[in-house]
Amino acid sequence: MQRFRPQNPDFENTVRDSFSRQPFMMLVGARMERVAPGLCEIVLDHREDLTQQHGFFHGGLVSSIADSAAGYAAYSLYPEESTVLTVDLKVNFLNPAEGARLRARSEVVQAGDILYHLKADVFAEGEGQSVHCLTGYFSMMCLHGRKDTVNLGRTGEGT
Amino acid sequence: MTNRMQPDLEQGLLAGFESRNFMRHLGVEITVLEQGVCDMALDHRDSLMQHGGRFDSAVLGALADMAAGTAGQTLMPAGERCRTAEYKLNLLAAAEGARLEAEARIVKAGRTLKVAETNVYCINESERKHVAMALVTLVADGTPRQEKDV
Repeated sequence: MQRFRPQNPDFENTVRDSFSRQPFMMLVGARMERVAPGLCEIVLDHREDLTQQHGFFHGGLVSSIADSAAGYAAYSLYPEESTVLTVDLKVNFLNPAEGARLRARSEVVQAGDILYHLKADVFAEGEGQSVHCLTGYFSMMCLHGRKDTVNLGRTGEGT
Repeated sequence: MTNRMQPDLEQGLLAGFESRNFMRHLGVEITVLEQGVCDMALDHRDSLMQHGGRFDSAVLGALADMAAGTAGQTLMPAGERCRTAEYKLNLLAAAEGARLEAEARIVKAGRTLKVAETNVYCINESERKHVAMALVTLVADGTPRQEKDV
């Protein structure tokens, strides 16, 4: 992995605080585990109401936690007064997401000024096994000068 | 997956490569060929550049796709081929330099579908810069549909 120097010395608290304000991640029970400059891991325990008709974790949700991990891996390198939005994502599902827990892990590949390129992978864990079930590319936008705590959507202050 | 290929399979693959006119047109060479692995290289030529002396992004895409497809081909049984269903290319930095090098690896080798990742680097005097990455879906060509395939 590349070594990145964070612009925000308090990046870990900034990232964890932002994640804690995401209602959707709360809804599905996702937790943030590791945070490092340019890296983030999110885990999600199995719940029956998160599965699709075959009993696997729903693909949209597998993508969602990868997206969230990628967003926060990028955000860890952003300046203090900024926020993050996903620009695009492409994922390939490699194996069914079946197991006690999912672990999404994302790393920054290229940090630009406005656009950040990331890779993310999701692993299904359980019974001492870890199965690679998703790999994908993400582009994240850095919105300079925008506070993450001001809710862009609900206050009507969006771009 | 760093095993050498069976020589006859490798010969067949290299012979097939010779008939790929577009890649010959570009001047692409295979530098590494193993099971699930293909590295390719392409030297600077004026006809491949966009304005400003950078490799055109279409050239990066073509090289990434070709390396991924060939990496997939190394895992196909003799006489069967795979083709690209789709790919996503992220352009990371300007490709200014004397040479492009692509490294393709198969991430998942299913019977019908394979997923490859290609990283493309641009070589100049001082560095080997990561300029593009591609995530490629390959599908087996012409194999009968099987109920067991998911």
